[in-house]
Amino acid sequence: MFEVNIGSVGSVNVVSSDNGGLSNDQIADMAANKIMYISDEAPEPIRLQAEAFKDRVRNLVQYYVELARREERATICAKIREAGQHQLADAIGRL
Amino acid sequence: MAIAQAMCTAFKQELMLGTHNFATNGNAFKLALYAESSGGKSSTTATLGAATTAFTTTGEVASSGTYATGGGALTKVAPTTSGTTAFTDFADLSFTTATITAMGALIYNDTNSNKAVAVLDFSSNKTSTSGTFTIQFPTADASNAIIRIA
Repeated sequence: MFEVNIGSVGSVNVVSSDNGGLSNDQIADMAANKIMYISDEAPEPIRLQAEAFKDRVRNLVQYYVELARREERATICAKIREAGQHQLADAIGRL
Repeated sequence: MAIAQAMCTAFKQELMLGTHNFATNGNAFKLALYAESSGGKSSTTATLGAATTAFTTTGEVASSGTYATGGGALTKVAPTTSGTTAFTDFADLSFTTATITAMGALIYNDTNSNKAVAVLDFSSNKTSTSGTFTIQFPTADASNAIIRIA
């Protein structure tokens, strides 16, 4: 007889925002969660080390998410300015 | 509990019948959002759990932003194995400029008669107001993946 222990459903993480998109922090947290999973059952010294590393990963991702958004805005501003929409370009540049 | 996280019982049977194909070129799967008491459509409350057999509009949240009733299409990641566990995964799903209050979700097979796959319980109401509502799937491994067969 074969017994298959079927039927495990993982837990999802819901991330939401109001009046705009997700923040850099939220995106960095999501990325860090995907990159590293730390088991609650891991021995404490290992878990603490893993959490410290995950925190560094999160901060690094957060920096580059912010950089990517800033550079994207700069490109958009340049294109809008080229199209003669200087006020709109300035408004986006101030975001 | 009106929404209880579970792999649907009918889905387990349908796996044996070859109803569901999670290959990247296989069936199309969707995720629909549900409310328990607020944020739902026509003030209906969703009742979802292991006994759910197919997508239902009862308790589904209303269309808002990029969320349209029926839910969003899921991007599949090909099933794989680790040790003695097989699992599959989906890409994270986001709805933008949406005003949503949801307590859970249903993953269902859009190709095969909207047959239910799994019910997800968010544990509490999750809300976005003119913003982004993202469902992040767990790490795709033998211990955490969204759908696992051990």
